[in-house]
Amino acid sequence: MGDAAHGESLDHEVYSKPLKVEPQFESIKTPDNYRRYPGGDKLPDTMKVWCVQNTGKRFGGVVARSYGFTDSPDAEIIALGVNVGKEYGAVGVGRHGNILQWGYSAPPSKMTDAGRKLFVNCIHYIRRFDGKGPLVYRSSSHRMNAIRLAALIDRIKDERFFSGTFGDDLKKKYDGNPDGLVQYYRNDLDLIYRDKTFRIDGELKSLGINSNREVKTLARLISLLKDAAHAETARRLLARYTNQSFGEPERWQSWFEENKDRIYFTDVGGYKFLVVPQGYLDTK
Amino acid sequence: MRNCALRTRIVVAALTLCILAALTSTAGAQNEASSGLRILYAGLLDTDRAKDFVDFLDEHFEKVETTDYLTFTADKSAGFDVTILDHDGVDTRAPRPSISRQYSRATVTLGVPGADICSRLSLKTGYL
Repeated sequence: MGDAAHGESLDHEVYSKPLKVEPQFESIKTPDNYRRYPGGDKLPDTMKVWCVQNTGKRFGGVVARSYGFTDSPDAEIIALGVNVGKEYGAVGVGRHGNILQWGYSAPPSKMTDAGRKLFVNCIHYIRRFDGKGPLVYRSSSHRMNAIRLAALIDRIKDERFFSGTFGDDLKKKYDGNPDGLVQYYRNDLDLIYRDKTFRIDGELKSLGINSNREVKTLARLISLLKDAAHAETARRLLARYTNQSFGEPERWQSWFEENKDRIYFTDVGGYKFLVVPQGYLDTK
Repeated sequence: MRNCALRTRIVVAALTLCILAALTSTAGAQNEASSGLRILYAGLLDTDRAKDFVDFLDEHFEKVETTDYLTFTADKSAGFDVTILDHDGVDTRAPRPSISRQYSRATVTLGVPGADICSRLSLKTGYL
């Protein structure tokens, strides 16, 4: 990442409290690297950006991948970094739990006025999350990486890559056919999960369920525990997608009713439905 | 003539109110910006970069103290509202302070070394 941030989505309060951040916007040609990522072909020819710092370098700072960044309520994006290696949407300034990562490299004297003000505001903002460690840690790879990596199967020569990422069955079917493999995952994006390799959840699909990350799926699986024909599959799927191990359907139902307003699904945190602890989202 | 004097007084009063309002607003913003947060800057002390940061932080926060990034440990954040962990912004091989997942103090990490710290903690703000 170089000096700039993207100019969209500046409605976060960190752009106005306590100092008003007033970026000077400019337009740049959309970086070529953005085109290589899923959705990159749909980006406009030019993009609105603003300079956070003035080093004049295209490299030096760092962005985090956007995929799954906000799939848990302990993380948020503050600024999208203009970069020459990753996707559009990669995170230049972001928070995960009590830590705010400022991906730009320059000291204050080389920041722009708007960059300095944003930096001050970030310090004020992170104060509120003192004591609020992360809810999840990176323990798995987000499903969008299945699509991103599928597009690269012809370019990555390491023999272990294909089998290790997608499995031997798919290697037989899609070796040398990146478009086919991309389409395979695109067709069932909401059913992708990870068990050593990226998989499509055929068991969920057999139950007529089209997403493994919607809370209503969890409710449906719990209801199926009382259906003799599907109870065993439902139990297996609940073990796959939760960290709970209740025996009786009534206990599952009780747990769900008690927590349903605080349940979220995270790919990055292990393809699980998890519960936000009471009070976690209250800030100082 | 009387009307003119009255108008002048009204204009002067209005201007005075405007100036007072503007001053109050500016002072409010400044107070908020230097609202007594206690900042610990852990950096490479005695470098231009560290001086740059500390001078800037001094302008915006009432209490700023420093400690050496290379010997930073989690317990040094005690007594501070926000800790800033800064190496040189760009070094891909910078040493990473030894902090664990139990560390939950409000912290800002910076640049490539900051992303490496986050990676080590398996945070989403990490490098990959």
